[in-house]
Amino acid sequence: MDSILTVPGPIQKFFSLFPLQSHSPITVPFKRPVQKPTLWIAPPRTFETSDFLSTDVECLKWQAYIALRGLTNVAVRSDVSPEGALGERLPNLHVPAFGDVDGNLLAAHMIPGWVDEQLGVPVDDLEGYKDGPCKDESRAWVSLLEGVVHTALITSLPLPSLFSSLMEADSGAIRPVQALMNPPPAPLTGISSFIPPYGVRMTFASIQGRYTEAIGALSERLGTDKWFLGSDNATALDALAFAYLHVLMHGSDDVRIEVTKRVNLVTWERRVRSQVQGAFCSV
Amino acid sequence: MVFHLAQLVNDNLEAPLRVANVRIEGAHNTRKPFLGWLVRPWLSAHSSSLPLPSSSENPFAKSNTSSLDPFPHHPTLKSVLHTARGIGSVLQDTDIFKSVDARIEASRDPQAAPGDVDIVFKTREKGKFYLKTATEFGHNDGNASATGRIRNALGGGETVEANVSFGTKTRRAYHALFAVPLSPDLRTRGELSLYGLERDLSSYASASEGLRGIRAAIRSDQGALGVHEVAYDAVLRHIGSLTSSASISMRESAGQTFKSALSHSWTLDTRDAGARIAAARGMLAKFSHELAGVGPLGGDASFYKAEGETQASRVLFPGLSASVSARAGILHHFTGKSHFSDRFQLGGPLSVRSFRANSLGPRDGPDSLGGDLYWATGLSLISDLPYKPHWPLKLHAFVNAGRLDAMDRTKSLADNVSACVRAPSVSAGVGLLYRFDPVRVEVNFGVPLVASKSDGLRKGVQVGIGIDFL
Repeated sequence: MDSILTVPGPIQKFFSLFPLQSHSPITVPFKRPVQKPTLWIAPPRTFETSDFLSTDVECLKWQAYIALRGLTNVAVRSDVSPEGALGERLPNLHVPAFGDVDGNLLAAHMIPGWVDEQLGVPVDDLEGYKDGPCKDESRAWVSLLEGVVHTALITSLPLPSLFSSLMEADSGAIRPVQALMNPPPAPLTGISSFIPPYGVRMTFASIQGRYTEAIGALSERLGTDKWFLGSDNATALDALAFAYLHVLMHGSDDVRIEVTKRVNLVTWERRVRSQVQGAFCSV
Repeated sequence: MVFHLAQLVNDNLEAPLRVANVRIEGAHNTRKPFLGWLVRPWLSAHSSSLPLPSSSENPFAKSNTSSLDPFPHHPTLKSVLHTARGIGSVLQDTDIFKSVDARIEASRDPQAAPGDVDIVFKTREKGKFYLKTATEFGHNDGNASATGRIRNALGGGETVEANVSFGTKTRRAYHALFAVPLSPDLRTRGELSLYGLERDLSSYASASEGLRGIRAAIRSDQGALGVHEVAYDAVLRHIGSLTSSASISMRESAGQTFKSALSHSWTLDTRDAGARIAAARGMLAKFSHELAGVGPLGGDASFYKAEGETQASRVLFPGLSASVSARAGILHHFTGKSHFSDRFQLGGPLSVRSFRANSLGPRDGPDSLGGDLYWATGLSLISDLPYKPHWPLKLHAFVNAGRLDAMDRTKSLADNVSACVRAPSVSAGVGLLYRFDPVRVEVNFGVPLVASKSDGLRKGVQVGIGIDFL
């Protein structure tokens, strides 16, 4: 639709004369063109050049997904803040684009499509699981990991100091515990209270109990299999399980001990870790 | 009768007279030690017949006192009068008193010698609490604000002030200030402030910037020598709320950084109030520099930054005046690359006109990334409207030039400066300006004559509202 206010022709013609002289564009010397697919992640635990595994479980999940699908030579960079990512959530995948020095920036949910495109083979309808029931069962394990296990993980983290909570900006990316648990826990104040509902009625002991059960069940289900649910190849569930196991094993004693007590989980994590590490390189 | 009293005083200016006491009446909420601290330099100078302390009211303050000192040997009526006027002036400068009336009377002190006098000030203190709400528009930003102030908070001339504002570009801002006089002439003040603000930069950088910091400053007004300020700033800067179209460079700049910096600024402004709006006479010179992140300062930002500005205005013919101004700045970062929050921005109705606001310099897609080196200069001719010289509306013609660059570390500073100067963006135009004290509103019709291909052009009408124009 044409704008109601248009510049009259003679004025447009006059404007087209300017500028009378043009200089070349001013360059940005600190701009780094993207050379190869680069995953933006939260920083690794150490600054060693061989440590490419993020400390953030969400980033590590996608790192494991890319690596276990068989892609290698993917660069990682951890100097971009979550606020710089699409939707203020890491990871993002920055991929080169033909004819565009800036490339394309993909949000996490677009990574599977990009991986399919790179491999030229999309995942089958069973998503790599050996049959339909296993595919359905995988949903339950995903729910357990992203619910109970994730809640235990975040409650085991030390609380931020008063100074840092006052001074640091809200990232807005942290999901509340109510959104993680199924069913969600009751609020601290009851229906009959004059005070509007707030807080979460949840004790650390109750979470810890459910967490212990979850890790036990996970260990039992893996058994001596190469991949979870007896799949022939790695699946999205394996990527998710690896991300949680790796982060839990480097977490506080509250969550670490339950994992390290199970030899099969520790061995499996170590085997998968070397495969995931090997898929990434520095920028 | 007034004539006769003045005659009497003039005839007895050299009569010996000594101040025995100074009494200040009505200062119920002001501490005595503070008042003594203000008065003591004047009394010392009076009793020892030394040169009087400097004051804006003291005609001898800027003179060679050895030759012009009116009472070199002993206190006289003249020195008593000067002392009374000096103390009265300092009391007024404290901003504590609504009225200060001085009188000289025979001393009540039993130990006073015959002929000794007391200077008595009858004062009325101003209200202690002040609250103001306001709606303002300036620097192309509109905002509503509330300000609360406690005058003479602890009885020593201290000011406690808090301000909260909400605006269109500066979305939220708060500022709390504690100021205290540091010298008895009240020319030097210490300030401790806590501040925070949230600015919308989406019109040129696809982001918002949040600042939260503390600042400690000492400001000294040296009169004709200008105002000096030395400050320490500790500030958390947060670039966030990026739009979906933000460039990769802005995404890389997002997040939180901490700046810990020492700065010094000097300002000399001899323009009269009218000259700040429309050129008439006087000149402005400003220089500021800042050192951040070096040695014990710490923080993420590590740089040296210097910026200068000058403006001179002259009346060419009755009804026609000219204003020439120039600005320049340089940012040298010591580690990595400079941060977005520290870089300079240039362009727009208040700087290089006929370019979009902050659209000069390095750009990545829709975003102006800012630069490390800039200069800008402008010539404005301002004339009265024909037959309406008394109107605040004036005719305006301008030529502006400037350039903002990122420093290329592979080249020398001289090469960088040379490259920056050799390829300016230039614009010219005519328009109207309106005086809205203290704000100036401009409506100009202009075109960019020379531009870089990366510059954001603004051909045609451009409106500017602000205080400091190029």
